[in-house]
Amino acid sequence: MNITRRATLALPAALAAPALHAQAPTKMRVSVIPVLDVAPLHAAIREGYFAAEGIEIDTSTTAGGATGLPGLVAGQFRVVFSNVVSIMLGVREGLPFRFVSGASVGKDSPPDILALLVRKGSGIATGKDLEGKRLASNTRNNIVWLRGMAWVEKTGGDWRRVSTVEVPFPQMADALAGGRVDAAIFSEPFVAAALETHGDRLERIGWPISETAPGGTNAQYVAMAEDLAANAELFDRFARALHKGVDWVNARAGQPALLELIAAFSRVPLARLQRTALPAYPKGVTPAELDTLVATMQRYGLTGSYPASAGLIHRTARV
Amino acid sequence: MWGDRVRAVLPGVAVLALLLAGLEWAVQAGLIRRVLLPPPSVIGATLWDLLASGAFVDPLLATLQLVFAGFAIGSLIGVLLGTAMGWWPAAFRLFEPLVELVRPVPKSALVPPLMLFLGIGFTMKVTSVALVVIFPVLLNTLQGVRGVDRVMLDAARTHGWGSAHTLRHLVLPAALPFVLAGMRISLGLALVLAVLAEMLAGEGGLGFLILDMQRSFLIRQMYAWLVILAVLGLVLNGIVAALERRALHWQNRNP
Amino acid sequence: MRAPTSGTWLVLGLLALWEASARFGWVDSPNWPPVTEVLRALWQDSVTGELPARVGGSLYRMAAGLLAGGAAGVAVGLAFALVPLTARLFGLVVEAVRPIPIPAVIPPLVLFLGLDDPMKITVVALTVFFPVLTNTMQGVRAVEAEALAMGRTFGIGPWRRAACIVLPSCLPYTLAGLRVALGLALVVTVVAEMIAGEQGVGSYLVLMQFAGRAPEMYATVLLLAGLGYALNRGFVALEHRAIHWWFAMGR
Repeated sequence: MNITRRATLALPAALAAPALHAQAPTKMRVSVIPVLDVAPLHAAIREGYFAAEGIEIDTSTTAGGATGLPGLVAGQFRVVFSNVVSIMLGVREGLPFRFVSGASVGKDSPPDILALLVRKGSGIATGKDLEGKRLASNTRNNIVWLRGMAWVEKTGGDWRRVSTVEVPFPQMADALAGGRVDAAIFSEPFVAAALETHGDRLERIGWPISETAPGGTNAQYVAMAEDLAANAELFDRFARALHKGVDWVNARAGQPALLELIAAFSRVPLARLQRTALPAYPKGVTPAELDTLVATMQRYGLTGSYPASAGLIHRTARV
Repeated sequence: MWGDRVRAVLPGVAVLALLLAGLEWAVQAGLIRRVLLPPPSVIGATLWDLLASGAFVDPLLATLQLVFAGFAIGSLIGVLLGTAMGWWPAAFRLFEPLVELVRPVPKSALVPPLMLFLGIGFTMKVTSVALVVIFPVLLNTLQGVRGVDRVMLDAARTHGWGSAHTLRHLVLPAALPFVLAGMRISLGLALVLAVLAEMLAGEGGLGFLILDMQRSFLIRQMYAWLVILAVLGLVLNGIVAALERRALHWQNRNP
Repeated sequence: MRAPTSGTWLVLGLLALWEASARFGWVDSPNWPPVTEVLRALWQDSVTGELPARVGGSLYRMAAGLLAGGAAGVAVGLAFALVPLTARLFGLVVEAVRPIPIPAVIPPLVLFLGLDDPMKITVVALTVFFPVLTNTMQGVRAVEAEALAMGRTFGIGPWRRAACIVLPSCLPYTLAGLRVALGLALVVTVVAEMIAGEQGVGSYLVLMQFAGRAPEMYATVLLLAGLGYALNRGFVALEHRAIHWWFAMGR
């Protein structure tokens, strides 16, 4: 049975060059978070781009990006989707992460995927007003927090005088509306959800990405350096399929087909997605964007020696 | 006296040291990735820095405060409710379905309503610790109160003991070992939950620090804090065990 | 069908209060949906077969962890209580592991056990192990004084003493520990499934939290409550049998 199937597969494969499809598909386990940023990956899975490259993707959802990265080091994942600050903190501590592909960056102008919300009538409008106040962020030391601190400084505040409180995204709107915090940095689709349900009590005062670093970097896919060196060809195929998924998504920007795809994997109601700001979906990672990010991290207390950015970008992300 | 103490603890320490030595060897030999599990000697050095600088005191006190507040509230409710449910069938019928329905719900799934009603501060954290502490204490108390010897109860009745008198002088002393076993389980859980609560809505405490270190890949520091947490657990458990021995001793002397 | 007891009325009353508080806006939050909407979500994802499949997977992992952890707890508990040397050798290690919460040790956990069923089942087994261990030891200590001395005077050997006196006598304690562990096991299975992976109720909970779908989240909570209640009822029935047997044997 197995032999005949291989034989029938071998014939067209011999005609096609390169002859990649002769073997059973290679399984790759990818750690993801069920957020908007991973739309291209799901598009590539659904449209069969990975199957065409002889790859079977097994996605594994984790509750946060920092759970995926230890799994990568332990060899449980081949590829991990994570926010760039977590990745760079790992790199700083000597973990051999390499960028395989870009995933999401902010757009040059509003609406951003991040938003700073306060209670209506609170009189808070700038970072200066936030000094001595409580600001909610989903975690400290990630990209959301970093952009928030940059926004505080950009609008005249001292970020050291703003106390950050960790509140999970789904609970932020309640914490803010209930007066437990004075402001909160939301990420989409929680911005849309908060304004949908608490729109009469909350208002937006800032776009942390486009006001501080237009088009700023947000999240990427990474793999281990030694795995990339040993299986460079496999990762070429992986990136090719993923980037076809990026093309699929970008070609459908603003169309119902894209929102339906996102609704299917994230379970966010379609009606809410229609009011949700999406990120830009890049294929590559540039040394310049990483250098800018590292400079920002150093500025807001995530100090240390980071290796040269160019060496962290695998060839598949140099597009 | 001291010699006996040392001799009693020595074998355990030896096994622990042996395990650590094995781990040290495995990491040094390259069998385990250093970035995921640094050698114990390196963790030890980091731990020493933490202890010497006194930086461990504030987070430790924050966590301890949470543990004791939650444990005290939860135990009290557990003992009261457990005794009531074990002694009065009407109370049992009233509360049993509710208790059994709430008990298996993961407390992390209850975080959204807890945060909604209690906010993100100390009250929410203490409540989540107390919620976990209640159930083992309650169940063990119930088991203990119900397990009281029928013959003894009949004897008490024939001697004309009232309900309150029987409860105080017969039932509760008999249930005490069960209650204490429940409290000992609960104390371990209280510590775990306090750490979890600090991880969910963190502004300080051991849980927040451990998660923060983990997320920043400061693995050596993370393990150093974990050791502090483990030692805290050991000490707490030792205290309850000592109290238990005392209480049981007292019980045996006053039958 | 028995007539509803006062307890059932209490639960129903609380549910009605929940419904009213959400419907009439006493509590106004997207994280507080009316209970009828929660039930509808529960029904919808049940008829698609998604929830039943996930519950099945979670129950399997729970049962495997319960079995492994329970057996280990009884074995180690008996060993610690009957052979003091073992307690002196390994007690410290066991006590040092006990207070460490699972989320704090995800990196080493993933390192040694991966992210699949072995990791999740181990996490459940570890959780079950400690209450069973504590209660078993407690049970052995409680019988020691009265029964063991008698056994010794009658010249019964240590192995028979363990099997015929100690084990049956500490059964109620062990069962109480197991009953505590049963509730914990379900909770921890879900927590472990939340760490990583696509299977089980835990992963569903993560997905719905990220999607901001409160009715589905509470549907999971209700489902787990119901499941836990059913499991506990089943266990109590078994426990009654076991204790009857114990009374028949021991007294």
